[in-house]
Amino acid sequence: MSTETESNESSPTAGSRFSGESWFGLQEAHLLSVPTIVWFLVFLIAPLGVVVVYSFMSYSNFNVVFEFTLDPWTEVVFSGTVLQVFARTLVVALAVTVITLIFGYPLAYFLRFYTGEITGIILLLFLVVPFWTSGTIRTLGWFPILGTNGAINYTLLSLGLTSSPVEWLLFSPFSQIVGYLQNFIVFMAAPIYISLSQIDKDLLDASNTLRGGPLETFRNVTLPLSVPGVAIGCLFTFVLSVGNLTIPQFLSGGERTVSMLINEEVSRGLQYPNASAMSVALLVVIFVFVFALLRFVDITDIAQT
Amino acid sequence: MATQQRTDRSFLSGLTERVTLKRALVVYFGIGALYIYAPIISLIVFSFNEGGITAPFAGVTFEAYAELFSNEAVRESIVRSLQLALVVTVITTVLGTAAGLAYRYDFWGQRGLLYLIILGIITPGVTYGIGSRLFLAELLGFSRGLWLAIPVHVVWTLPFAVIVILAGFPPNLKQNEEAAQVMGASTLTTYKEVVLPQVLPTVLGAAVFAFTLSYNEAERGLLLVGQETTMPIQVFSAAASDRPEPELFALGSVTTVFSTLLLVIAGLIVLRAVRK
Repeated sequence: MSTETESNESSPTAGSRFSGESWFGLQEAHLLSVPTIVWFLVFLIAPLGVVVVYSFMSYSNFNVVFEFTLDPWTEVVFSGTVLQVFARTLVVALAVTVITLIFGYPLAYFLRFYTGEITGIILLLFLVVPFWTSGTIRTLGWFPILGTNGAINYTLLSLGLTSSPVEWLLFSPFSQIVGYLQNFIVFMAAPIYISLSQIDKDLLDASNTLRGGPLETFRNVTLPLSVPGVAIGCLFTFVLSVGNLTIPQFLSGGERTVSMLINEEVSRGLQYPNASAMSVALLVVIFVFVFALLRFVDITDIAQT
Repeated sequence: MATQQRTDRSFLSGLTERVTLKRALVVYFGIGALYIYAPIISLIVFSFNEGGITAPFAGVTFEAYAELFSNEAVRESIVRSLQLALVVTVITTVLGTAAGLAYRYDFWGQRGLLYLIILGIITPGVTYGIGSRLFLAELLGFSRGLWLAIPVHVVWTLPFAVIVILAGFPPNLKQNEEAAQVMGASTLTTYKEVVLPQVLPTVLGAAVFAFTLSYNEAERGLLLVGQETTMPIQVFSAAASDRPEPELFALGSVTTVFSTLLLVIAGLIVLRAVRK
């Protein structure tokens, strides 16, 4: 019944609608985007604002007291031990990012240049399957492999390669790297794969025609064009490893990370001001990393097809 | 003639170089895939091990599975996680599809929305977990429970859904829409007949993605659900307080089988929709 009036109404504006700048187009875009924007403002921005406020609150007798103080910052965040944990968390996250990049790039390179388009995507999906199992359980899966009584030690012992079990396989920096890399390698490979997919093969042929060897082509054409994907992959890996709770909890030898400290503050005595201050500091660190990355790389490149 | 031969030779050497590189990369991919699957294989193998979660493999037993299915706390937490993930997926899919469709136009706030999406992804789970607890439970005074984790999980799943939807929109969506409009289709008809069918496979992909993200998320809802723990929270606290039990290995195996099935089914649906 209303279709006729509707089409009558929309046809005069139809011409200008396509530019997306007309009044009508603007309104439709807002109708579609406002719910999401509001959702983020209420459920993301507001809580983060609250965390900032709480980081300046006092605390006594297991209760937050609404009195301004700098204690959570001066006594906790900028204290020697916490700064040390921050430094270690950052070093680990940066190391994990570099290692994941080194191991992840060849995966993406293989999928892009040595498999078909459909095969590449299917193989990538195949690599994603393990991530559908809870991260905690997946992490526990390393125990029977790396543990003192694990498969690797059992094999080494029965082959007579060692006389006593190798201890540094589990609860060590090694097991942490193994765990982090397994967790993030696909998050690194996927955006690099997308970046590589957007490279025009004619460019590579052109480099070849100009007598660029495979190595030169890679260094001067492929690598620079895949930088947006590398940046997004590094961003994912860094951010996820900074905030990860499972791997330091279950695979480390007991060294603590910032996220573990925050968790302890809350679970021990609902020490929200301290937890808030450390959370804000963590967020600031991530902002600095992301900002530095965005200064060098325009990641919106990857969205252009 | 001579030059012809030379190019032939360089072409040949280039080809052999390519072949050896290809072989090396195939081997690398195989090792990489094995490594990525290692913890999953370990979960499945050792969940059946009579000797528990240590090598060597002593014999097949289903004890871990019997224990898992008789463990009421775990079973209830799985049901809660599924309920939560289902509601979160519906909200995420609706909001994410709408937001994705908005990007067919240039609109005021499109950069801002992009920043919000990035912020949702880069905010660490612990930070956000504390923020949402303080805001929703302490400040606004909502009583803790499973439902309070819904908005928080959506904040986690929605950014990924929007990205998947934006990445997967067919490039000729706009043209087809215009064509429909030129032929006199109303806005509503265009949506129903042209826009939605074209974006459906992507939307489905985003929904599946959102579901697993929510189902496996622990930290963000940790301080909000109170007694109504979800599966990942239950698992985390069980594993952190005790030594890991074979039962958890059984749970991991079951989850893997189910999610693989879900992925295959979703993949087939998307493939069929694309073929059409």
